[in-house]
Amino acid sequence: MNLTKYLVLGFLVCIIGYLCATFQGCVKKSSSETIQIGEIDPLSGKLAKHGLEIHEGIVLAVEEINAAGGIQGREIKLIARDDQSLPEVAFANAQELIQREKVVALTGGYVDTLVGTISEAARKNKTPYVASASLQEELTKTNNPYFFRVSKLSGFVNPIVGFLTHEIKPSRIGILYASTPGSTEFAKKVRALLKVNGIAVPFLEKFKPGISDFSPLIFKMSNYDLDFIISGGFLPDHILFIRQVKENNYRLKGYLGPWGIAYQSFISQMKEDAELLFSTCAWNPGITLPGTEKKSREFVEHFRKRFNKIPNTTNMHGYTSALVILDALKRIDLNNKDLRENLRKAIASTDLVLPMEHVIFDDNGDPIDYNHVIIQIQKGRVVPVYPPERATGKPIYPMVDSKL
Amino acid sequence: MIVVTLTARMQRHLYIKTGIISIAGIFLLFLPQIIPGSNYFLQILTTCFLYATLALSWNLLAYSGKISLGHAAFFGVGAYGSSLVALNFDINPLLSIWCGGCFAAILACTGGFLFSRLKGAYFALTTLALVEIPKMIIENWETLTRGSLGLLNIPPLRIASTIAQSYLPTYFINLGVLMLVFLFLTLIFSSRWGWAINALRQDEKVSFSLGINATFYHVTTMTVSGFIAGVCGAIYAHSVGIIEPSMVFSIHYSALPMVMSLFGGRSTIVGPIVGAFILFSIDQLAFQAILPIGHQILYGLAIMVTILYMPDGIMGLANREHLWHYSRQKK
Amino acid sequence: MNVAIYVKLVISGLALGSFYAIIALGFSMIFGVTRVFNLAHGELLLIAGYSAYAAWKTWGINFWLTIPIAILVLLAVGIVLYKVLSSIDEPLELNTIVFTFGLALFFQNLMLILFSANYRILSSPQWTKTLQVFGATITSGSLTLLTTSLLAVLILYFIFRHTFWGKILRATIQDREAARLLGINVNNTVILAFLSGMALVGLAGPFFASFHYIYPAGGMEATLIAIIITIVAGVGHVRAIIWAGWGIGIVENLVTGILGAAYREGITAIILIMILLYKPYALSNSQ
Repeated sequence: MNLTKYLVLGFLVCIIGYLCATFQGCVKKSSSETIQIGEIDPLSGKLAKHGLEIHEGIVLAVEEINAAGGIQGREIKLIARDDQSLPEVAFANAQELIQREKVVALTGGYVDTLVGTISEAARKNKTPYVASASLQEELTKTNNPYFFRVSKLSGFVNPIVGFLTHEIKPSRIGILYASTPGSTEFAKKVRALLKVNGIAVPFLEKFKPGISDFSPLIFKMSNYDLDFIISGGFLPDHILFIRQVKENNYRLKGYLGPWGIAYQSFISQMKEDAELLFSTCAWNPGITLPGTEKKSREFVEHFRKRFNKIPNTTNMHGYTSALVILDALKRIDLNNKDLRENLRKAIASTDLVLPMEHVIFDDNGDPIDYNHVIIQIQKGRVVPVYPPERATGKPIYPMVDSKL
Repeated sequence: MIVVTLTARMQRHLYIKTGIISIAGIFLLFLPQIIPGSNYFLQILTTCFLYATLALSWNLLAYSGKISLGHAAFFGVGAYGSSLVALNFDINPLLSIWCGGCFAAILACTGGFLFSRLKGAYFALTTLALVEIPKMIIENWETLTRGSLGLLNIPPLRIASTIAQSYLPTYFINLGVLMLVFLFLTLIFSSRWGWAINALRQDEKVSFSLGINATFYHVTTMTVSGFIAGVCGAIYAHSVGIIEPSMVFSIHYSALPMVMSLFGGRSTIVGPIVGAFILFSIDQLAFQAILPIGHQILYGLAIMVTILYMPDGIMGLANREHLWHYSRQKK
Repeated sequence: MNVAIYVKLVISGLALGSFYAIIALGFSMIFGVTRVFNLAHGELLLIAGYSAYAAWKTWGINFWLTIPIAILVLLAVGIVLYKVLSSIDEPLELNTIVFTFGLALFFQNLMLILFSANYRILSSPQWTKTLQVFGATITSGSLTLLTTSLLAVLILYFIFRHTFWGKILRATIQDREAARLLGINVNNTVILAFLSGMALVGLAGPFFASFHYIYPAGGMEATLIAIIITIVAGVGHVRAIIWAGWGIGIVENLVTGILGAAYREGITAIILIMILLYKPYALSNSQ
């Protein structure tokens, strides 16, 4: 062993020490006076962005309740785990949280394969799980009484189809979708519903998320004379697609991507390239369920104070799922032996009006009232344009003419 | 033709090895009875068994001198093959996992035939590319595989006596498969076949002159390795219950067995197992609890430091003449 | 489908291939000379990309001015990294695979903490200007990629073939022991080659941030591209890198244009395997 190795070792020890010091906040002593809630999210790797956003929402919800004195005088402790986007790790995490950390409920979860796995672990351990972001319809059809979620696919599909058939009325639509289960199911549902409404979908393409060149698809599209394009890609896919559309002078008339556009980070990176794109969101600062404006404003304010940035819809999903658990905890006796089972029953009977949705679960654990709003980016702002009762602006379509 | 005769010392080593393995196996078999409360600990072990088996399968190929960057291909084919068989023909998963292994073995055998000529980096690159082919077929054959929607409700592994909704069947099956593979490898490494692939790794030209049919041994090694990886994928699919192409064909399942084998010590049979056990459990039991958000930094550091100080992996620390080594290495 | 579309597909394939070649240059150089199989290549590229992005964001400088900054940052990282890598024992290729796997995880998660998980682009408005070349439109962005990759490869090729240092490098790649016997200071050569490899990664970083996007977990894609291009081109064959890049770029785009994006990776893989089987050293025309 030479000097270099010692130097490296010393350096590494310093880094570990530094990291442990920085993250001390995450490791708190547990006591019988606290109630533990577990969270499993992809906090590293490709999905880290959304995983961390959900995490922030959940952290805020828990901190708010603790600042207000906890529940029945007991402090709520959040224990987070990183599933690394791997189902087997998510499963192990769930087991660990339930058995070692004795959490009373699980929340978090992004992407259906991970949520599905965690829900199975929840079923096996008889612990309620409220998923923050999950879409696939079949997932809740497994007769799992311990599984709840605050989002569902039809919350996206119905407003989009309604918007297209009633507002835009295009005759030819192109759909691009990513090769993930959620995006694929989305594309199939939208196409089926559009056909029912008499709108043709001559162009349907699947691509691998994160693909590095969209120009061949753009060339291909230009042969189909499309009035409107729906993309089931994610944030980075929109970045590349829109930029390459501009580079190749493709006359894009209308573009809607349900995931990734209604984010401040997207708009600030894309600047004028983000103009007039359509998207959907369940909540956004300024777009909230009627009657919840005060709660929404408070959330934005607290979030800004805590994380020094403006919250987005993914933060809100995390926040909402955590609030569902916290609300249910308030309604039960915390000293009861069968805490998890009581909590499950309390969650099943949730009736909570939150900025994102009016949370009521059906028998499968699906939210009954989860509906997205169609938005358009107009002058760098997110403007709701559909449904009419929640719209504050008119959709601008087609988008090319405004530039010519 | 080489005639392999085991020396008395090797024979003794073989007995000791199998003895120790059997004792360890029996201990692990009764572990659920000893610590019935710690489901979570057993869950970690279950995953460790799976990873260890996968790492063993990778290491078998590496032992014959070929570095694979594409074990995810076999893993994914095994996962899909077994799930589809179980779902469509209503076959007990305990049987269908072997079908999954066979599908993967067919792919591996074809690959082995085609790629047997290629060496080093070229072989590695073809295996890397190989992953994309079954993935493309599965993603686009929507009537059979549901394409990118993935498969749901894959029946879980069950052993008759255990209750349905338990982690225990998977624990025993993973342990059983690991023990089987381990015993099998221990035996064949001291057989003629083991010596032949060892010779191939050390010097293909010389071994050719000794009358070793390189193609035959490469194809069989790859087939066995693919079969084991396929069984791992199949077990995985049944224990997770929900799969999609980009998940089971993820580069993760190519990199993981490689890193675990090299970390544990590729020149020993137990090396990959040690690597899998240490890497997975240290991350799950310690790092995640210390640093939920930055635990991968610690994980990365642990790997780096180990390789700096133990270039032959954890088991490489042991003497080169040690019991667990395959044979004397050429350095 | 008419001919014009094929022309467009080939041109965009050339641009994509040039982008791939730029990404692969550093990996090829480092792997060729030092035998370090650098799985953290993509993460190093991201570090260069992030430093270029930071410089662009804070000082508002031109895209081209960010390149020297990125190169300097990577040289600094490279000196430290070389120190560490040189204390790794044999077998070097295998051990560096594991080491750099750990390094990649380390960098990836460090970047996640330092720069957040947001996607960033170093947007440069000049890329969208279009030019007419042989009746086909080509954007200045594609043209920049093409010329940069060609220039970089040509300069490297010139250095390799026509300078004394290049001869030393080639000798070291071919046979380290023999080179040492000839009185070549192999260690110095290796250090220099490693650092030039890092500089090439530094060059690629701003391009990656500008023509793609950067986020902490985005390194794996770049590493894979680099591995594929390097091996197809043949280790140590600089000129073949551009052929390999163009070939793969064109194949990918043609497959996407004709069959659909769902077949892009699979068909490209089949063609790649066929090339390797038919003639493993096809592009570098020597063994």
